[in-house]
Amino acid sequence: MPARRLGISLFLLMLGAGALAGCGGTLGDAAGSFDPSHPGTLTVITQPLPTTGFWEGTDRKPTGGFEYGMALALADRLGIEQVDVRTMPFSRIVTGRLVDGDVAMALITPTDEREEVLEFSTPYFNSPPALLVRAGTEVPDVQTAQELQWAVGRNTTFEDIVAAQIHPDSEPLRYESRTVELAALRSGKVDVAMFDLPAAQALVTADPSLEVAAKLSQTEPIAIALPNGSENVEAISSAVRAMLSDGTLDELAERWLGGPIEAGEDAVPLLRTAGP
Amino acid sequence: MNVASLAIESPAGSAWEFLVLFLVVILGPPLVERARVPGLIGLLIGGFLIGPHGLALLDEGSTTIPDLGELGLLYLMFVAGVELDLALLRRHRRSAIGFGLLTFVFPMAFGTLAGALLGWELAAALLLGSLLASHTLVLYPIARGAGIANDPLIASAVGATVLTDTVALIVLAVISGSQTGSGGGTEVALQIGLGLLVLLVFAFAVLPPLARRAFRLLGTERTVRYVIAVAAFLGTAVVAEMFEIEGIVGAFFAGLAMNRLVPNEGPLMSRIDFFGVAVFVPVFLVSVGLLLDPSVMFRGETLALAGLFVAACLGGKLVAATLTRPLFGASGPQSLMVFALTTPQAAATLAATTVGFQIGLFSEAVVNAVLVLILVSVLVSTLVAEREKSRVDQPAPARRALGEHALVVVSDLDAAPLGMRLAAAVTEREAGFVDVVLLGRAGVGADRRQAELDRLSGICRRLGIDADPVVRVSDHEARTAVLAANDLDASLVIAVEGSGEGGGEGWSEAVALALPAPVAIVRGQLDLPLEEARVLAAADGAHPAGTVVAELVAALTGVAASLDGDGLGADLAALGDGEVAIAAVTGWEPLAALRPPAGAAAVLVPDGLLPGTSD
Repeated sequence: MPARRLGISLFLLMLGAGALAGCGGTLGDAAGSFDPSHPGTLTVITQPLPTTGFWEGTDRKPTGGFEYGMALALADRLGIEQVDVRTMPFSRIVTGRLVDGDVAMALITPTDEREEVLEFSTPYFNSPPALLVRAGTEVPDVQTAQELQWAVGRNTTFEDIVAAQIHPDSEPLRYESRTVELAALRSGKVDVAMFDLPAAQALVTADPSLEVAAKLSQTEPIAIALPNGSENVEAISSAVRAMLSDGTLDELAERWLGGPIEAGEDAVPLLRTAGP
Repeated sequence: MNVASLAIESPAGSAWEFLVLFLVVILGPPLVERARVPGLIGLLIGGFLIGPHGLALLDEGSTTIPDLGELGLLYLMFVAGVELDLALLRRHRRSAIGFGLLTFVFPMAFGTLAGALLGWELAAALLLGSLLASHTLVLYPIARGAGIANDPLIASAVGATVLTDTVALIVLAVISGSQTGSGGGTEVALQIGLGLLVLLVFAFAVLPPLARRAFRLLGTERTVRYVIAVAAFLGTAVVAEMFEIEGIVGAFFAGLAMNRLVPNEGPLMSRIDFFGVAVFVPVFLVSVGLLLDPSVMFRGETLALAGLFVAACLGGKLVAATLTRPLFGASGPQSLMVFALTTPQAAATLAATTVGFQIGLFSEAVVNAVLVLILVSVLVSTLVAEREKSRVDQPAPARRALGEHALVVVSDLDAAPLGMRLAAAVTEREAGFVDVVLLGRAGVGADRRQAELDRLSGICRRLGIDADPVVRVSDHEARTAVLAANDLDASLVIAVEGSGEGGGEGWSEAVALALPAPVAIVRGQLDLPLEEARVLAAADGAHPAGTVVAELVAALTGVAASLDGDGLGADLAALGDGEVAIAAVTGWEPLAALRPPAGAAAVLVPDGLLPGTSD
């Protein structure tokens, strides 16, 4: 293959690719390009505040939290000046109705069902489901767990996990609101509620009358959700990876959760269940 | 029994993931190789098939394969460094560095320009340039198989790889450090500069003596030697990461630093290659395949990116290769062969791309475009290499370095340690390796022969020599030794004849007569480290044997003095306890009579029939 012919082919290839590259930047940024639904504003959807440790303050005025800090850092990384936080029930978020929100951050686990109606970023942490109980309640084995009255968030993955792995004697109570679910736990209406371990640990830090009795062996990824068909997934995923590698997320965890996300995991006893 | 009540669950967990992984490793390469596509592409496709964008056979959120892939990535970079032929870089220093600069600068410039055209931020554009500028010697076996590996330009291209990959990884270290480091620009620059300095000192000044010592003290077992090598690159990767430099840079530097200690043809390299080829590297490639997403790869955006990358990479490499004609006097086929050797993008490119993805600098589209580039670069360069290999003129055989491959032929076990120490010293200097053959006398029982072989293996382990001694049984020691030397293509034969008392007296002279390779005859039993023995030498560079002696002496540290020069017989007779004489023997008559006294030893290099001296 003469060098000249190879050179001409490469030149033509470069010309073609260069022309494409020059067509109004259609090839985007190396990390992916981001196009907000409202120019200059990152619109973030979450469930009604507070989500202790993750979203502090009120719906009208969020004041801090791990995911709120992440939203601010995300906007900064994407070169967006303003962050607009809107709330809706978790059960509605996972149905994909994000209206004009750019991203949803509410400790959401990607599942096959949810991926039909939402796009998901690279996960920003993985954590096991944990059993949150009133202080003094012991759950040493799955038989004890079956005898307790369970609470789960409506349309969360915990509904399936409790049904498949715990098989409780009585039907779990499903709650739309985390605040109501926690009130039920504190009042004794339910004995145990399932949350992601970091969320459960943040609740225990804020309220010593609660404690984490156990965790399950499996872990669930937590990711940012985007509207179905959004072309912003690559940019958001790249930003998440960058925040994971440059220590931004560690700093946020340190500030709002009291240490690295996996820090307290080993100290929590494991509840052995039948599956998965 | 009710069959329906049986608890049969769908497969999941670590065992299932490992099974799926190894099935891909087993089936992926041979399936694509049937279509004449390189096996690594099969692993990437296999990774895609089992991954989230394919059949999703792995648990969601599982990090088993990505974590193992990280180790595979470090391993891959270590192997990339350790298997580079530094001897070629030394031998063709000027052309290798000159061509190395060309083949780095043009793709680097074109890649950075492509990134700038796309409007990428500077860090991403520079990283793109550097990853296009590196290359992997995927096609070197084609050049070796065609007998043109010694062609000066092809050897220079191979030597240039050290330069391109090192500079590319330094660029990666700087860019990744600047993206992930905290603090201001000056602080980050200081951190990276200090980190690189510490890393270089650790890799090239601390690691080799440390590893050498560990091989001697702990590496008596093959498995331990292997684990020491693994620990060495992991340690260097950790040092790199302490300064926020990517671990792969440390692993590559560890490979370069250990290059001499791990000869390419030696048993340790075989083990490193074995585990690399069987497990670690495939696992890394499969983990990269998990990122492969057809919905992203076959998008117009990704294909346009891939086209631009291909043009920048192949264009830059072609310009550099073409410039070898006016600058280094290359012929057309040589120039195209150099292009084919320096174009394939694999190890360093994948490593840098993976890091760029992990730190959020590159999107999935860029990763998928790079995967297309890897495929195209390997395919195009394979086609060019296959076509041009027969057009490059066969080079004259290169003079082999003495320490490339030493064969120690032992007939006296008590004298073996000196011969083996000499072999180790000479080969270490040239990053060569040692083979050991025990001459077994016919008629000796198998049990006794095995006991002797075990003893010889024990001596190897005690001296930290990575060799697997074998026994060759015959009733003609000289013929057996000559056959072994020819079989193994030794560059130096060390004939351990011993004291003559039951040591098979005289056979080594016949070996020296029959072989084209230099022969050093070891006589006398001395089991002392060469640094502790008093070494006396008589090197006369006027004779080929004198040159061999000079090279042997150069490989030893602490040669005490010259022999008296009263005649070799008298000089040897005057040797005291713990003294070793190394001398050329310029006639056959006295050789039989040249024997050191008890407690001393001699290394005699016969002249007269060495290459270049016979009429």
